[in-house]
Amino acid sequence: MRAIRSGRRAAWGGAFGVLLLLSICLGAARADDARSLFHDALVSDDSVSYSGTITTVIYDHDSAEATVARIDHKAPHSWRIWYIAPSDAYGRMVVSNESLTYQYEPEQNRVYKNDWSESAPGVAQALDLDRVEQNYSVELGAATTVAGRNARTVSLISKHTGSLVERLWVDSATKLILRREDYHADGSIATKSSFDNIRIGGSLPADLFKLAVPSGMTLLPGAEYGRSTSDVVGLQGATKFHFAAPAALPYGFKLENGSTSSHDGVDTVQLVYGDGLRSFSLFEYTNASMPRFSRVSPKPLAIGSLTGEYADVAGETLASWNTSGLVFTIVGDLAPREISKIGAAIK
Amino acid sequence: MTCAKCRELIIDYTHGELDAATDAGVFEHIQTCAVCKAEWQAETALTETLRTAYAEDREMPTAVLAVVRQTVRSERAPAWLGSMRAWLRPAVLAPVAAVVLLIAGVTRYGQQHTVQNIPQPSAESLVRQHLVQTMGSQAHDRAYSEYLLTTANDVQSNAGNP
Repeated sequence: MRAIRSGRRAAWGGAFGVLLLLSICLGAARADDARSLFHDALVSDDSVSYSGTITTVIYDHDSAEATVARIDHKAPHSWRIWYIAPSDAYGRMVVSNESLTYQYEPEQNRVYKNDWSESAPGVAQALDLDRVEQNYSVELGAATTVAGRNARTVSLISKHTGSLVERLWVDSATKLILRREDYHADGSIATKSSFDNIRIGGSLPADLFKLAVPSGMTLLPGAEYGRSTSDVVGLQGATKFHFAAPAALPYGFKLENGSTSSHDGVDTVQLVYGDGLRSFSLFEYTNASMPRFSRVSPKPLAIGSLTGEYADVAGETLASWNTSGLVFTIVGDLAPREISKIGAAIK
Repeated sequence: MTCAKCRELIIDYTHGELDAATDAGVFEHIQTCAVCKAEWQAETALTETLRTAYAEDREMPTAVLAVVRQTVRSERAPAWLGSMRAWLRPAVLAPVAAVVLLIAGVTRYGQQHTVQNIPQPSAESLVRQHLVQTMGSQAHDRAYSEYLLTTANDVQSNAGNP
């Protein structure tokens, strides 16, 4: 009798072990699938050409703003964006090779030129997958459809807070990102961007992406932005005042690059921090007032023993305060309480 | 006021040399005292006779002036209104108004001067600088970000800058 019981126990134990092993293997395989899909999605537009209409909605806490644009993309680096909405941008066309961008304003017969290779380092490079995975777990979701195409969802969940930060809808065939949603720290939606329709491939003539000035139009320089540098120590030498940095950062964030630039006559230092997915900028300047808000009324925000102010601007949180003659401004998708902590840690 | 006191003051009263309070006291007394009133009328007649005898230019008779003065006094306005009128006289009001306007102008100029002297970056400008530095390569990044950035070109140009 005892021998029979012992045999049954061994059989149940063995079965449980096999199931456990199987589930671990399946889980690992699923995680690998998610990582692989996420990686493919990040670089897919380097090899896939397409034409489509994309709608983007930026949500602030009490308002929303949307753009609708027709996008033609010829892999690997040619873009043509024609704006349909909002009304103030209707008819505007942007042609870019990820380095230079020409903005065509047909009503004014003007073409503006911006050099993103100097000021927008992220345009020409994909996200760093390893950096993202240090701070986020990548999870594969359910199969679904977007713009009539089969897709899988990939969710990026903060390893620190456990909150969902971004969700992607990845085309099953091409791995293009068909839809993307980003979420605020409190879980509410921050941005939603989705293809309403998309046609993969097709022969897009090279002339569509030619950076040229049509006859009758005038070429003008676009707005100037600070040139990005990873040499932040060298940045101090180029600055007339001694800028400070936070002694503590949110989990996973680190200093990535910096720049100097002038805004409305104010010489400013910008330090950019990121965790692979999210980012924020810390601006510092002297001899000037805190930033002026033209469309919103700022609310008070405690920064340590100081009182600053903050507001939502174009989907970003902007908080500002001053102390000892220095004005600090943080811009990014951060909750006000996160900004308070960062600000209080600036030495 | 007593009759003795009134008689002491009659001459000065006739010639308009009393202070306002004393003058008013004499006036009230002679309205009710026939003896003092007669003395005042006699003094007035004497003054008029002397003025007629020595003055080269004809002037309005003192008696007439006295009656006019008495009439005006009898219709005297309430004290507070008189005080207010005194403050509203052009001789007082004009300098005060000028000083007030000067102070207001200096204050307003000072405020404007201060605002103009302390530069202030716009929040939108800093947000655009942040977007430029963090904008990714994907269409989902670029559609909205490039809209904001290219709108800045448009606005800047329309504001008169190249």
